[in-house]
Amino acid sequence: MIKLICLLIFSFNIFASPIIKKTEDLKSLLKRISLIKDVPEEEIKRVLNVAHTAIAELKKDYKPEEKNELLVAIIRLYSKILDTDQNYYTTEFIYEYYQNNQKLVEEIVKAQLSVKKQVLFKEHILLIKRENLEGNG
Amino acid sequence: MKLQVTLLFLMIFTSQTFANLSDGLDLKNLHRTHLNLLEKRANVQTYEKNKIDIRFSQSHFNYPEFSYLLMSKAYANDSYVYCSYGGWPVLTNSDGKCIAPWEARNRRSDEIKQLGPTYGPEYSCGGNKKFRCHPLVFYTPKDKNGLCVENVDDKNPKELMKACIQAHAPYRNDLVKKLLLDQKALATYLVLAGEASNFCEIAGADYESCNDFITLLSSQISQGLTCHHVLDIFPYLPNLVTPVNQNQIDKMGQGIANQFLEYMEKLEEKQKQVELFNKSIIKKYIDQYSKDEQTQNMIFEIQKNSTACLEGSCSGLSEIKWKDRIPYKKADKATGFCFRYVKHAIMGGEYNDDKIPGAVARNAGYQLEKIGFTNLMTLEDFREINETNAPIGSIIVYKNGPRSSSNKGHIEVKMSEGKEYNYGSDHLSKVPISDKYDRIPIGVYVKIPKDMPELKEIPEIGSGL
Repeated sequence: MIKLICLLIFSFNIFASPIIKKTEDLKSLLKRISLIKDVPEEEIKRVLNVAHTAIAELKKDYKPEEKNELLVAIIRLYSKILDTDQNYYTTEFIYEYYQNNQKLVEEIVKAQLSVKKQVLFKEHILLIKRENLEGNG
Repeated sequence: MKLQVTLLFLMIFTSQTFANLSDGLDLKNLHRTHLNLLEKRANVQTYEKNKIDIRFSQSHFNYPEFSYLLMSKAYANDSYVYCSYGGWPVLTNSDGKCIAPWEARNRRSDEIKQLGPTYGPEYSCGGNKKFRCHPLVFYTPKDKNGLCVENVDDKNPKELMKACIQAHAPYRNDLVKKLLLDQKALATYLVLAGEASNFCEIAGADYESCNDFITLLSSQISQGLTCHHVLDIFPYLPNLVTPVNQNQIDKMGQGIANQFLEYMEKLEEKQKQVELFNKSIIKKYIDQYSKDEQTQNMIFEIQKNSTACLEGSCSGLSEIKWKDRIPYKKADKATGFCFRYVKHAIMGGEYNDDKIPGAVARNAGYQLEKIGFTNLMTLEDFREINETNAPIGSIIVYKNGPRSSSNKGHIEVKMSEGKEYNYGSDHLSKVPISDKYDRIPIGVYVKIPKDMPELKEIPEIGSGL
């Protein structure tokens, strides 16, 4: 019986700990994002780094609802960035993810951003695309 | 350390200015005693003996007082003493046994490489019972790779050494001739001889040939030191004189290490002075560039165009304003055409008549250099230069950082300091782009003369002060 309990604990440690760690990573990241209330100009780079880290987290094997929760948080953060800076560089962090998950991102952008910011988002995506294709000369 | 000292003198001894002096060396005698020593050494060195306690000897014994029986322990302890394997200096393994010269550990060892050629595939004689004697110690004009001996046990260094010495007997005069004519060969040979003299220091008075050998070496070295101008020696010293060996070198070399250190102190001071002087000259030209009318016009052009939509640059923007049917934008709004705006500014400053070619800002440096700009980041005296402390008027080129989705880079002109907008390209900004986004500066370009006759040459080791 004791052996069985030990085996169960051992199996739990082996198989469940990465899942627990991942969930904690996600929770701490969501908390970190939620703590950013506004984005002063001198903090843009730091906040963009947080946004970039969050996007990288989306590549992990989360459940769809978890991914959705994180993406919503990212777009809300993006909205705060746009309040300070409307240049297309602010959208670079999400560009690659957007290309691979266009429909999902557009849905959340539509739900979370004002119409004016949705227009800015589209503008930025097109500017980045054009610059990547043709350069900046 | 002992080898270092020996190498030091051997290197001094073989410097270019000693070329003629080598005529007077008793190389034949030196070589004879060297071979004698190598043979005795091959007999003394243990290859298959018991394990060696590496920790045993270092702090409790003085090498010259070592008895014959303790030799192998000294070998294992002193990393500057090697086995000799048919003239090839080789490393010992952890048990103190000599490792065959063709083994990778020897061939790849920097210490062994310092002592001349290593037994690579090019030295193979092509069989188990064949062995290539060291190509210089057993030099023959018949084969540039050295003598091959046959029907020998290549696992037995004692037998190999004997065979090499016998086979080389007819060529001893050829070796002496080569050493007299070829300074590089002489240097390598003397480095090997110096390594052999290290062995002597450990063997102490057990071998008469050791005494002869060391006397021969040191008399010729001191002869060289007396004749030689000390400045010509100094270029060979920087890696060899250390606080640890300075006293020993001083004793053997008439205070040369001390002289060298004093000289180096003065030289470094002089180098710093010249560097500062040169930097001030370059800075003068940079200041001229910043204040130059052309540069000011370039900056004006950037400011003027910051609201303009050059060549339809605003077509991608969602918010375009119009005045008199001409579109315009906010000054701080980027269009994705930074390089285009800087090209126009360069023309506005008349630094070039036409738009410089190129579609990618990251690569703009090449074009800027073609029209006479210099990247300050590549100048030794301006290593601390960056996008923040860049001089006014400098054109700053960036590459994208790893978090950026683009790879086209960015380019901007530093317009001022401490104002609302200090950097400009297709948009104006208070701070350089790298302060906000993932961009890394790769060039800070200004136009300064290519030749500045006022610049002084930085003195190098060996130059008079």
